[in-house]
Amino acid sequence: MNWTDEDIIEKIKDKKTVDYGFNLLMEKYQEKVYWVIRRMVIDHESSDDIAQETFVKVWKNLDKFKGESKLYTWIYRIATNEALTHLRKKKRRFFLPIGDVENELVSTLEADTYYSGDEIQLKLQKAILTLPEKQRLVFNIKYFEELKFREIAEVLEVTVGSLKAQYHHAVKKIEKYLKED
Amino acid sequence: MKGSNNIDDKMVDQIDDHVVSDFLKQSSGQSEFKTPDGYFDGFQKNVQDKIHNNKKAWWQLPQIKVAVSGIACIVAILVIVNNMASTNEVAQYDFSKDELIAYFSDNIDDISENDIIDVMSDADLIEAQGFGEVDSTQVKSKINEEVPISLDDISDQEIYEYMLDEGYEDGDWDNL
Repeated sequence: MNWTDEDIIEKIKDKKTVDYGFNLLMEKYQEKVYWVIRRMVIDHESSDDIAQETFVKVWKNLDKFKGESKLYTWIYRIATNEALTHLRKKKRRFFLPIGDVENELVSTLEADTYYSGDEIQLKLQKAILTLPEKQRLVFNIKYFEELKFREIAEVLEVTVGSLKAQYHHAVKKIEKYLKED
Repeated sequence: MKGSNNIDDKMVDQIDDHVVSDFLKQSSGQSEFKTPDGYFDGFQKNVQDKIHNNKKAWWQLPQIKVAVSGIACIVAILVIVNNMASTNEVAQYDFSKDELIAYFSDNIDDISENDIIDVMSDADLIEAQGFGEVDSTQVKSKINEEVPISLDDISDQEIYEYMLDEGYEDGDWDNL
């Protein structure tokens, strides 16, 4: 059965069915959440930790979800914040300048046993990794997750206009990298 | 106007997407990122375990952490104060007699008699003043005591010699 967000919220709000509702929520969103995080932090182990932590946070804050935003928007927001926080912590922990974080992520990508991209895909990933964090996030969600600008704007709490500009800049930078390299 | 903007936006999106998708056409097209086999099957159980095992052990509670930090601070302060006290002790007693004499010789003009008496031990005072075996508590008071000089303390011979030194002739002082 394909559960709608409204069905899931209804189950979650009822104390008798809250556990069941939460399992439905995880079933519906676990892969989407994982892949958004994975494309940001690259390695599987970190992505797994962050994805689990995202759902733990969702569980802990279920009573705070008032239904003002859409369920998937709220979950994506928690997931993207967790991923960005992880990257910032990594930067602080190893005193890495921005350029070195990109290099470190490229090394992680090349060494990851769960990455099997061909030469073209690896080149595109390297190009994406040259983008600033926020631009990278916008590009990944738009291009790979195929969310609409309006939906991404809700997740990241920015205007559609600025998102489009960021996406456009991101594509231009990637294009330039692919042509130069 | 709004409609034309939307058309422009769609065109921009399509152009943007084509840049990457055209490039990716050269690739095998297979999914590049992988996960361990059956990873998503066990995901929910892992999250549930994390939620139910997330209750912290007693030593991880914030109250315990604050109490332990407080005790550690108090111990650290006590150690520092104790160290400072022993350092002062060393400063007070760690000079040899020769060093003290050298110091006083160099700075004797800046030190009053009373300053020296204050820092000298009772035994030193007795030795210096030749009081012999006396009650040490009396020594300092005796030295500090200002004794008025009376004429009875000076002999006629001493007065005579003094007047001669001052240039008076014998018998001159009868006229004073």
